[in-house]
Amino acid sequence: MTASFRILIIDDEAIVCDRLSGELERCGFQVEAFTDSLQAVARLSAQPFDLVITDIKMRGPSGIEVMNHVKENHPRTKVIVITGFATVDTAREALRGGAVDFIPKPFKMSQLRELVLRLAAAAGRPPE
Amino acid sequence: MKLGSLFRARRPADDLAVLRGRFARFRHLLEMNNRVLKLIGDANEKLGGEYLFDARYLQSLEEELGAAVGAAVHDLAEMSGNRYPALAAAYDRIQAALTLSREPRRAPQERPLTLPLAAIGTELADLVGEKLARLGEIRAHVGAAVPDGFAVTARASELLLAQPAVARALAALPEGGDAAGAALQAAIAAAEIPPGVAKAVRQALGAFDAAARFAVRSSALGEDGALSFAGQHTTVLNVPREGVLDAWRTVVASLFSPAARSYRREHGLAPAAGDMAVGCLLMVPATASGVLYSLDPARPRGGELVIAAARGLGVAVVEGRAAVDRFTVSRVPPHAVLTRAVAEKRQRWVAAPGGGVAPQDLPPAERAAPAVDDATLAALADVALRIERHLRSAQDVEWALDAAGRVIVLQARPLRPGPAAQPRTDEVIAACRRHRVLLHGRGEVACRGVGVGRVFVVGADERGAGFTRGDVLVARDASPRLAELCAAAAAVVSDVGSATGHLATVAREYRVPTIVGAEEATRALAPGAVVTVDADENTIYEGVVEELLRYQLLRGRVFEETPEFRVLRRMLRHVAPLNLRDPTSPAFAAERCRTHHDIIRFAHERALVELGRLEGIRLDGRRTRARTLDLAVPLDLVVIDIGDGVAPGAPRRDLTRAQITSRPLSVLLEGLLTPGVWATGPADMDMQGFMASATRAGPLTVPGAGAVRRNVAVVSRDYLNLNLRVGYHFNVIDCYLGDAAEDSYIFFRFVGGVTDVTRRTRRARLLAAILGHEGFKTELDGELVIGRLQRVPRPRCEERLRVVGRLVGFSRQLDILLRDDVTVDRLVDRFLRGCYHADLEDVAEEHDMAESVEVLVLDDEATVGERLKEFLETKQMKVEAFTDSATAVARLAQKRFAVVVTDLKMKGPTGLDVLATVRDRGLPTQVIIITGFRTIEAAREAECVGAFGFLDKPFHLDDLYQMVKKAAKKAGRTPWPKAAT
Repeated sequence: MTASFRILIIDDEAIVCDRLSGELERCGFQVEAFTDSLQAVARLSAQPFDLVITDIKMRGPSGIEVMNHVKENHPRTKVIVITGFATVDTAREALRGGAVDFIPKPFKMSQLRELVLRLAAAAGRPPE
Repeated sequence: MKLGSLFRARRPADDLAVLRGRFARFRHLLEMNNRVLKLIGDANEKLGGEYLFDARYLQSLEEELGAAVGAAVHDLAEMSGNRYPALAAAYDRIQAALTLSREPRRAPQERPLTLPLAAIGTELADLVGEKLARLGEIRAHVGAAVPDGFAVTARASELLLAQPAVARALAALPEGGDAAGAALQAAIAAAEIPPGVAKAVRQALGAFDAAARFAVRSSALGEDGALSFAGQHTTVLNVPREGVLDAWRTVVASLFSPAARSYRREHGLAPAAGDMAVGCLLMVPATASGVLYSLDPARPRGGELVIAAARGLGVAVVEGRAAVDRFTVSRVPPHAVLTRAVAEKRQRWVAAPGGGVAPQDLPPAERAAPAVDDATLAALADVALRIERHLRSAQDVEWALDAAGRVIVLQARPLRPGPAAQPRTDEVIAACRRHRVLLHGRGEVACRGVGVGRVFVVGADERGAGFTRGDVLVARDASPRLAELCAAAAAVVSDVGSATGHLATVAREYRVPTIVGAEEATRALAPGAVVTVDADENTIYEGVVEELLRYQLLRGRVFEETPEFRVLRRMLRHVAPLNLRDPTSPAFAAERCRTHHDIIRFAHERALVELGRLEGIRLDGRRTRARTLDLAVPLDLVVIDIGDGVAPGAPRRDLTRAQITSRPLSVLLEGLLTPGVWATGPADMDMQGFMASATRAGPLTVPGAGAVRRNVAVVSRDYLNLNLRVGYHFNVIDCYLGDAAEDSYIFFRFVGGVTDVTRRTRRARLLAAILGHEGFKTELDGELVIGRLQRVPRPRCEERLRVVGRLVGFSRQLDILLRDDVTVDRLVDRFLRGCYHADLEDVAEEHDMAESVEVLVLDDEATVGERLKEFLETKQMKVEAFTDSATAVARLAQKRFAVVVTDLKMKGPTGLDVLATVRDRGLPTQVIIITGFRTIEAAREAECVGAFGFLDKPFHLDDLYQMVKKAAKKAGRTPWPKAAT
């Protein structure tokens, strides 16, 4: 039995954290969520995750900074960037910085679910 | 025609300029209309829980709606010479309300001091408290009886707490300990009731009988929300009218009782925090009362309800003052009683004549009898499960039985079992695996949630006889006629339909888990079978997945009750409802517009009238160069050319069809003049039809009809606006054939006809059926039919316009034929068979691709690129595939490609970088980006940066082919820059 696929969610809107973590837990993933990106970075330093889903614009470290931190310290961790202002420039920046995908808000839960399931399967760790 | 004589001084060029300007405005207004309707549809869809949105979305929704509706108001003002100043005022009012609804705490206008229970739903929880909000929701949507009454809102308690003496005591509370708490309570008890509150409450009381007695109950903000605050606040029972204000003050003061303060301290809340709304509800003269849990908190896996009951009022049960009866009842209808523990009840509590409650001894003979009978227990279980289904969580319900034996719900709150009873996701997942999946991932989720029930299949034209409450409604179509059944269904699944349709909207209103467009639900789900519909994950299981149901009931996270959903629901109250329905009614007035939907509907309707308002413009004279069109049928059609719609060398008076260069007019005439369409005599006239025709030959009450003296076509090369009166049928056709698929549209509006209402309605239904079949979005309102076709490629749009032409001619002969509904169906069928064949059209499209198209495919996975290359080559395209994006970018500089199909995410330059390269070089090459994730917003984004489109992974190869084909066409129309090879 492989270890379960661990996901960290960062968004300063509580509703995003609550609903995403509920959704992904229900899929069988292990999820932690933070509305404070500084705390999230601290958590990332203490513990590696398989996937980080982060907002771009936040108080504290931005999504891009979080991503850079992840890429430096845990190069195998995948990052998905979600953003309320889906400009092409932010999307390009996110993809250049190594994000596997960017998701403009608002988005459909089913689409995110499928994306994450695909990433987990690609990593050889589908939910139990 | 003499109307133009007043404007004799105007030169021909002016008349044309006026018309051109007016049509430009009109087209812009149509565009705004479409945008607003789409925004409303999208926003409504977001209430279903399938979308994740946040506060920023709500802000941008307000901004986008404001901009589009404002622009439409402006367009109409320009078109009409500011004929409707009240519309701008209505707009300002709605915008202001919309802004306030996003920030309720800063909005006194949005926060009345009292509200009748009938006006309350969950979206008002931060004004009336969770408890009352839920009671209002139950009243409106669950169909359970609740006491009549009203809320004294949190704003009233703010006014009380803002009184100087109270405010001082409140300020001292955080450091002051128990003494400060007591001082604060005393200050509140001594405070004068704010005059505004007193007035509002007296007014609200005026709606009730002078002898009415009230239960004055706390409904603190946050109470029964994340925390229960159970029993922390005061309830005053049996209060006469004159005592309600004092009781209100007592309940507000209970915010600061020692118990409430220590509860807040334990839960980490600020001591002075608290907003108290208060419910004043009619006392129920109860013969029995009690409390029930819709799941046994001690044994949530047991599948039973727990009911506690006592004689008289519920004081004994709620406060645990005396022995009560306890029953467990099965959750499964008919709700058998599983266990019973009947206590010896010495007393019952009753309302005291002077107010308050008092115990009364029961005669010894009645003491041992159960407080309620089995039928009542079953009725209680039924009510509880209905509330549970609507609120999507297990419930703790306080109930009473009135003199007639009816169950009255006094309050309901989510049941919170301890951590041990919380459902575990691994159990849920394992349980789901044990059940056979009947359907998965088909269609769209219109409203999330889990529902269990017996499958009831309703056919295309059936009304659903035999449907029982709690069934899973499975339907061919998502027709609005199912709305009533939907409200009582455990879940809804339809083969066709969309998440923005009417049925989906109703489902969200009633919080019914709903999946639409599931294609084969009516085949996959057998009538009578019990299924579990998981609309969270768009999966339908055979049998009852108990764990899944329990997970929904106990997980404590109900998306409808998050602040964002409440705000969206509040906003939509100022946006979505349509109050202005009948354009012929006097109530169809600018000052009656209460929502953005009203405004846009009003502006749209009046813009059509303004368009037909041709006084001051000589239609048949030189001024507009209006020319009569010679046709084989008697149409009396005048053509006004506002830009390249008529051949340059055409005569100044009479035109022939050959001289029409307006594409839409030519196409429409092709349809109208199709042999057989314009039959001269109505067939098969019967006496009834004849009489009906004869008696309704009076003037038409059609807006704009009076203003149009002749049939007028205003045309340009790509545009047609035709006001066409054929007999007693009034048609408006507005069409633009644009090069981009997004620009083309057909708007068709039909009203009128001399015959009885039934036949007119049948005809409207027939037109709507044909239009619907041809892909039009139709609106059917009695005898008015509106059909809209948008976002389809130009060739298809032309084909549909031809159909509209045929319909205009065809409908002319219909009235007399429409004897019964069967005939309607037959006529629809005949029309569709006689004139149309979908397959032929696809063949025609294939022929358009005569030239071979050069395509560059870029994906860093070699197998993907090879697969796409192979596929596109079978379609006679010339394809080069690359795995390295830098090489591909270099190749783009060497060779002309019509289309690039690229992955979004690659090593090296990304798909968006490739797109930027193409754009920077000014190439006509169209770029299609393949992405793992796409939403409507992303697609829109792609448009604005110049990508042709986004394709969502995984995709059908045929979708790719269709998109490449369209992209190639677009590329083919743009010249290559000189610098490029």
